[in-house]
Amino acid sequence: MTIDIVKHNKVWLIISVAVASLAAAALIVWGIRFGIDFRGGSILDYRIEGEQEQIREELNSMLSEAQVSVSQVTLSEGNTYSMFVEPLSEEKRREIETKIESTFQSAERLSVETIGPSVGEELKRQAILAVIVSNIVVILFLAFTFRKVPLPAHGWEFGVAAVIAMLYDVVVVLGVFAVLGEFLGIEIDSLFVTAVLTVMGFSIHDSIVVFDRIRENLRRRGGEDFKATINKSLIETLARSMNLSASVLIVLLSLLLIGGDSIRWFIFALFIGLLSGSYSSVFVASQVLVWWEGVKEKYGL
Amino acid sequence: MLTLIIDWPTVTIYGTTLHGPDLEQITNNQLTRRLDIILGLDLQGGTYVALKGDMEGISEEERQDKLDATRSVIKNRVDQFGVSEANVYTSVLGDEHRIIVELPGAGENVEEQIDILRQTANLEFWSEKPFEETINLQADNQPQVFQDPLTQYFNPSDVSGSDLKTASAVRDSTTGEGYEIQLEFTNDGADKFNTLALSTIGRRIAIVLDGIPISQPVVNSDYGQGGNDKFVRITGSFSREAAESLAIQLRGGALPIPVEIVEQRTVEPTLGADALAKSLLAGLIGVVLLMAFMVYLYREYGIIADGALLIYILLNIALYKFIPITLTLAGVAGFIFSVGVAVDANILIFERMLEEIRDGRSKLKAAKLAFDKAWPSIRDSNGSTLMTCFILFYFGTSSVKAFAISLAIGVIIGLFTAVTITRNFMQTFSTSRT
Repeated sequence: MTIDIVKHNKVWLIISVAVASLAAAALIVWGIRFGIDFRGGSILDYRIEGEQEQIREELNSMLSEAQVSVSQVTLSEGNTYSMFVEPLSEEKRREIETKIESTFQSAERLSVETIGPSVGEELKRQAILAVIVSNIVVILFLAFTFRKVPLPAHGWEFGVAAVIAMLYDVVVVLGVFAVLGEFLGIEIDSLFVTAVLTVMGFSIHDSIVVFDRIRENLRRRGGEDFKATINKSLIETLARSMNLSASVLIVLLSLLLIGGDSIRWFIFALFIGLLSGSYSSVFVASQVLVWWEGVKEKYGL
Repeated sequence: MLTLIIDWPTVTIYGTTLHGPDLEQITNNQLTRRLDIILGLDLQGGTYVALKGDMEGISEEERQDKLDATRSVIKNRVDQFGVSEANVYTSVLGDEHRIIVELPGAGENVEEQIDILRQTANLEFWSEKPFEETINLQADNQPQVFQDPLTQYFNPSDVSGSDLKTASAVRDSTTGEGYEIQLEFTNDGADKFNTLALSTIGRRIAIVLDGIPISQPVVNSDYGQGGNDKFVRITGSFSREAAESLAIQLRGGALPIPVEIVEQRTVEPTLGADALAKSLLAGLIGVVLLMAFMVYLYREYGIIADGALLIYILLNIALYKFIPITLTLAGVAGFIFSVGVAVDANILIFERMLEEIRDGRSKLKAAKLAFDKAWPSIRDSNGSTLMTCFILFYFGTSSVKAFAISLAIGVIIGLFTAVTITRNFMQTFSTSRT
């Protein structure tokens, strides 16, 4: 094999930093559009047959007549209208439902959801807590499993590199959803939190497989330097990484295309995250490791 | 083999219904329930209501008790709806004390049911009609007309839940064995109850909660001998649990704590069925494509991977039925993701094998080496996924929990099938071919 992935270490790192910065910028400029799971609110889903624009306008005026503040009314496949509004009281909700059902003959209620505003804060707090705790646990876990890794690397350095790659993936997914929120009005819900947590898990999973090969090769390297060993390991695991990504993406793609509306954005988040996760094990996690060892060598640490 | 029997679906083809073997019969009814996959509300349709309990002015230690008492009152009400498999449980999230009610299926009158959940329960005292009246009633009884036994045998009174101050389970005062329920009335209520009891001596008083009689004590002939008293006891050898549960119901005339609806989701069964059908179809197509991809990548070994994958899926479904796991959309997602993880184990082994073959080893040797060399990375990567699952389960909300459980089960079974099935298949296969 003549490919040298490690030689362009700086290039990969710069590309990765650039991608992460773009995602972070989108996140800062536009922010994530939080769904009602986080900020409270009601969603009413109705299937109504007929002239779409007209129905949408009528729904809008009906809601403003009822003095309900509307954030949006969207239309998705199968003539399904989703009304995103402020949290409705039981009475208000019934009033609106009766009105819709009497105005449109064909109106068929699909689902309604009301979430009080107090719940969201708890959900956010829990999600953040879960992320922090799992980061710490992952670093500890890797420090432990890689404790016998031969020098110059240390087990905990593998942990930190894996976590950096994981944070990279999370930022990318969040950035993509900031863009989607800004331009398509996509809101994130509690399933999205699940997706992000899954992406984190996968990212670590993937990095560990690569690291494991690095560990194995470090143990039996004969005179090869650290960089060459890492490069060898990356090349050796590349086929596996690509085959795995392809396998998982096949399943996700079929879910994305025919899995229906309710899980579409959830699957999309997974899709982006897993793509990014496969990339980041090779081009973030391993490159951080190489760069780190380079810095250590340079300053004689 | 066992998984095939458990997984056997009920299939209807052109009017002929094929049932799986009747597991209840085979196991001599040792199974306490049918082995079916339980679907979550998002897949079968239904209503989810979260009620937040107002804990203001209630001390930390008492909160859980109050919440449990409220839960049992609400559970009683839900049971009266006659909804099968309704769930009522409590959930404490930080400072939020909640009671979650899950009503599966199409809620024809779900709006009324929610009203009933919120309202303060209606506690009434009815006095039994004199014997002669009910005899007459039975004489010209018209069998076609259904009469509520309550109105048939009892008269309503003006004593209600608001007259009752409190109720508690106390030790039997005379024998010291067993328990009794002591009712304490308000001043006003005591007068009213006395009038009622004195006119019902020797007959029963029905205590009615939301239209359902929960206790029908007989008024003793010596009632009122001790003068007008605010305290009344229902005697009889109650067990401690029975007495306490009755006392809770009596106190529950008003809910122990005020509640308000903070969250409500209704999914119509048609939408749920649609979501289920779509994600199952998508999953099926995904798995078939995946299996084809495996064969494309690894030829004959791909067939081994496919065999392992099929057994993996069957084992998973069997476990879902046994534990049982309530399947939700998030759970389906977790399962599908775990399929990917399970496939990864196979890919790691086969890639390793191809590598060993490239290094000049024989197929047999390579097959043997591949597993041992791939194992550490399979173990470590799955180990970290499993740990993530535990963290998610511990910190997550219900949908995250569902995801974490199905992923964890998937990872464990994936490890199991990688160790047993893929390894054995591979060795047998390689041996027989050389």
